[in-house]
Amino acid sequence: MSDEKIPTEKPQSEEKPTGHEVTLLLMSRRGFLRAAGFAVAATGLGVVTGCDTPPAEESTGALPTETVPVRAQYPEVPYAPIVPPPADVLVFFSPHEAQTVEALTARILPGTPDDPGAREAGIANYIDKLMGFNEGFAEPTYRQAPYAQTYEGDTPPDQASPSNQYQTVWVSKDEIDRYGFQSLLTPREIYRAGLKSVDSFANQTAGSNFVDLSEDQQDQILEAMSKGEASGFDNPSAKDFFARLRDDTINGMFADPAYGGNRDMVGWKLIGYPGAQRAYTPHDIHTEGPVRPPQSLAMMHQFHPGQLANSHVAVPVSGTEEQRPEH
Amino acid sequence: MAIQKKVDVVTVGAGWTAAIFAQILTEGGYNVLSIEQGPMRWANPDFKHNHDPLRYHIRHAMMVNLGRETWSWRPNPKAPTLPMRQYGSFNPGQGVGGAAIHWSGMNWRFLESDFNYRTHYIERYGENKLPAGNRIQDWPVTYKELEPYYDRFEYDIGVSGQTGNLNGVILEGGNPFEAPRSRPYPLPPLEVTIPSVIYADACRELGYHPFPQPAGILSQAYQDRWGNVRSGCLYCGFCTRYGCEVDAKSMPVNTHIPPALRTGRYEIRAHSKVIRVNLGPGGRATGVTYIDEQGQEQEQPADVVLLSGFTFTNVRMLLLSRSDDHPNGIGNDQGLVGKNYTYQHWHGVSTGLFEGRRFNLYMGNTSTQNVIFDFQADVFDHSDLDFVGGGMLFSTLGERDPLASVGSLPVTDEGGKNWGQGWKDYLRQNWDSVATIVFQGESLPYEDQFLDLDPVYKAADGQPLLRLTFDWHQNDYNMYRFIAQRADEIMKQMGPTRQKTTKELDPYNIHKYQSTHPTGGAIMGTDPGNSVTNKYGQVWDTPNVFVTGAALYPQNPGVNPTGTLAPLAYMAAEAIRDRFFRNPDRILV
Ligand SMILES: Cc1cc2nc3c(=O)[nH]c(=O)nc-3n(C[C@H](O)[C@H](O)[C@H](O)COP(=O)(O)OP(=O)(O)OC[C@H]3O[C@@H](n4cnc5c(N)ncnc54)[C@H](O)[C@@H]3O)c2cc1C
Repeated sequence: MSDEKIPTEKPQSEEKPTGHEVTLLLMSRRGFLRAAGFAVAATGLGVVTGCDTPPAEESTGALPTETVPVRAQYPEVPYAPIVPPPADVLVFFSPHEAQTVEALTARILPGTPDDPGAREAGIANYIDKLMGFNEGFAEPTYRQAPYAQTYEGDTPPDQASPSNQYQTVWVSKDEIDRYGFQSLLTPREIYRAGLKSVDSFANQTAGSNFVDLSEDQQDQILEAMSKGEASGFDNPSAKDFFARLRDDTINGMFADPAYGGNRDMVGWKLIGYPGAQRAYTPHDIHTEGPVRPPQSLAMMHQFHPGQLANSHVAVPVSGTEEQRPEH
Repeated sequence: MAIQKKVDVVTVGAGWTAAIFAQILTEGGYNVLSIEQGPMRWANPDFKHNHDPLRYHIRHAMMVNLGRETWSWRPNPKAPTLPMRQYGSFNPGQGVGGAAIHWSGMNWRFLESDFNYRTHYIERYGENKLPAGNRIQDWPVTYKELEPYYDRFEYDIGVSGQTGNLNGVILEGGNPFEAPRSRPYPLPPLEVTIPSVIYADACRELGYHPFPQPAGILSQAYQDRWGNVRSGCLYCGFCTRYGCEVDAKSMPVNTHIPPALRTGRYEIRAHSKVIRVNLGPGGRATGVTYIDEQGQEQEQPADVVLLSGFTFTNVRMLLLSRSDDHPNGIGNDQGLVGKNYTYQHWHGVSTGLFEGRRFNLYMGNTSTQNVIFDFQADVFDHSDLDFVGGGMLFSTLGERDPLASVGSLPVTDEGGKNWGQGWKDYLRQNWDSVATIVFQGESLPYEDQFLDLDPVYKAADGQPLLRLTFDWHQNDYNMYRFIAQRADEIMKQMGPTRQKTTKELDPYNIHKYQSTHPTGGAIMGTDPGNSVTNKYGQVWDTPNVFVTGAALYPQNPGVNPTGTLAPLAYMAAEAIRDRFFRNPDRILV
């Protein structure tokens, strides 16, 4: 339980980063620090072995055998970047895809410069960087086959039929939602296929790509998707893709600005959420309405200025004072 | 495979029950090693900058890494099985301190009738009252026997609460239905949120008995008997699914682990995952095998093996560890491992919109609310009701962060549009104007509800996943319908401008978070014919293996489990310390 820690700079990769490594490398250039274990011996406590290192950067997706360092095989949830990733460097989407995501999310949470919505908050940037990590799996996901396939009616298709040449678990269409996330596709594949379907549905019903339609036409498309009435969506279904877009819009809009969305904390200002605060008084709890201007992770006071606080979390060690709002 | 130096006691994981055993056994002079799959961590530095709901709440940073191991599920033995690929129903933890780092701190004692459930119901209502196909049985331990351990645990961790029953005397403002306690709570209750105050008023108007949630979170600064000095709660709003940065939430790393380490007889080996219990001559356990940080298999000899890796790991280890003496796994000579798997109800039953008000519900934590026990267990008469059991109704939790709450808006029965300009305006006006009444209720064991090894899906260790076969039964649907009506009436009394009540219970799904209170599977009982272990968690057929935690519960009462599994651990650890080693092959009585 000693406070003694050895700050170490994470070694920088000499290789050119591939798309999905960019977010993490950005963090390491900015001084991604880690705690190198716990030097408990100094205080005469018992022995604590095993130390903390940053999350691994790669996953193979398939289930590997356990013969290499375990944490290299199973990436943990990444930490928030120190500074928001730049919106003008796409790590996954093509420019057209990014524009389409922006247009779609801007109808879920519309905005203007005076009353920011998804576009102004940078949601497309948030989702692009989300796709940059581990195939878009921000959280550890079990990915071993067999996967589920759904059927309608009372009886599942014959397991031995030629259409079941891949090992499949047949689940009734009415029951599948009870089992949670079961997609064979990675989030990257879901976005790539979903965005294609949006454009083909837009072309088929309104004669051009989604981004070129009027807001009313765009709303009609989203409406059809949300009700599962848009044709041409296969995997992901229109409904699932709409739900995915809406979830990611919410996450980007209301997560810490460090993740690339919620720019200038516009999401929090919209609903009156003060973000990352360290304390409220009993009096605050019994007060209605705002008691504190919003504050992001980067603006938080350090517990021990000058000492590395949480050394494996990406925060600036000094300079937080100036960024704090007047109040 | 290397063979490590032998220890007296090896524990699977360094969660809360393991920490309690470590403190008591090292104090008694034994050396204890905890093999923990996750990282080492402390409030300082690990929790000092974690106020990031995306990483901790939405992406489950502190939970068992599902890429490595998950659980599969099917609703009944005839239905198809699929693995839980991403988090849903429950959130078991990994890392030193276990799930008791990111728990909510709701700290309860069970009621006296929870311990003699079967006898109680049969005596009061007759044999036919209990639902068909049930496996309900009495606990092998009574409330009275456990009371001194409840008391010690609550003083060791500093529980905040309002005493309701002190040695049989009912005290104003507390829970009048609680079992008698020998001392008051060590600390006064936490603050509660604004809607909780409205809720308490409404409950009193309806003749119910509201009281503040007892919490394993300090309402004031506290120094425990080991000298741990801890701050009172700062109501920061980052509590459940986070570690506490000021040590106000009671966690193994600010309670039992520091004194255990100080003896010099406790070691925690982090990033190491136990894959089986090793068995030797005569079917005794000889230690465990684990995979170390480098991915290498290691053998750890020990005199006693403590299965303290949470309900699921405990049952899985029993089933996976086999020898000629135990062809179906440890404790499974009678085929009882995996039986009596139960869960818990946790549903937001009624939601009220209070237009024009702003509750600041992002403050506080998941123990800053008021509760009623008027519909708990058999506190109310079931003679004319079509179910047994009940649960607690409470309102309204704090730490409501936008990521986890805006998605469920608007509050409407008509399925209002949940995107677009109208939705945005709704969020602006109403995001923080919502109160909820939540039901947490009991879950009973049935023949068609159990844990076993999955025949298809495997974990990264190459061994089968644990499979859950579980769904709600008729008793659950009936109980829920009755409780939902009560919640609806209370919400009406609270006076919202709009109200939505879910009147019927949906079938169980593994998709939605409900609670991390899966129980049973290695239950304790009075003899090997009705249980896997005795009341100390000692496995009948392998006496040097002990099981801890909620896996021991024959059925699950209507409150959170930790307040009771901790005292059980005290009782068992003392029995091992004081009596086991004299006669290590004997069953303790
Ligand atoms: C979100 C959440 C909220 C909760 N809120 C409450 C509450 O308000 N009130 C309440 O009473 N309870 C609550 N709980 C439950 C509470 O956390 C548990 O009851 C308690 O932690 C159980 O203690 P344990 O020792 O059995 O397991 P844990 O504390 O979970 O410890 C188990 C440890 O074993 C490790 N482990 C597991 N398998 C292996 C393996 N194979 N090898 C090595 N290590 C392994 C795990 O990594 C973990 O560290 C909550 C839980 C969660 C997740």
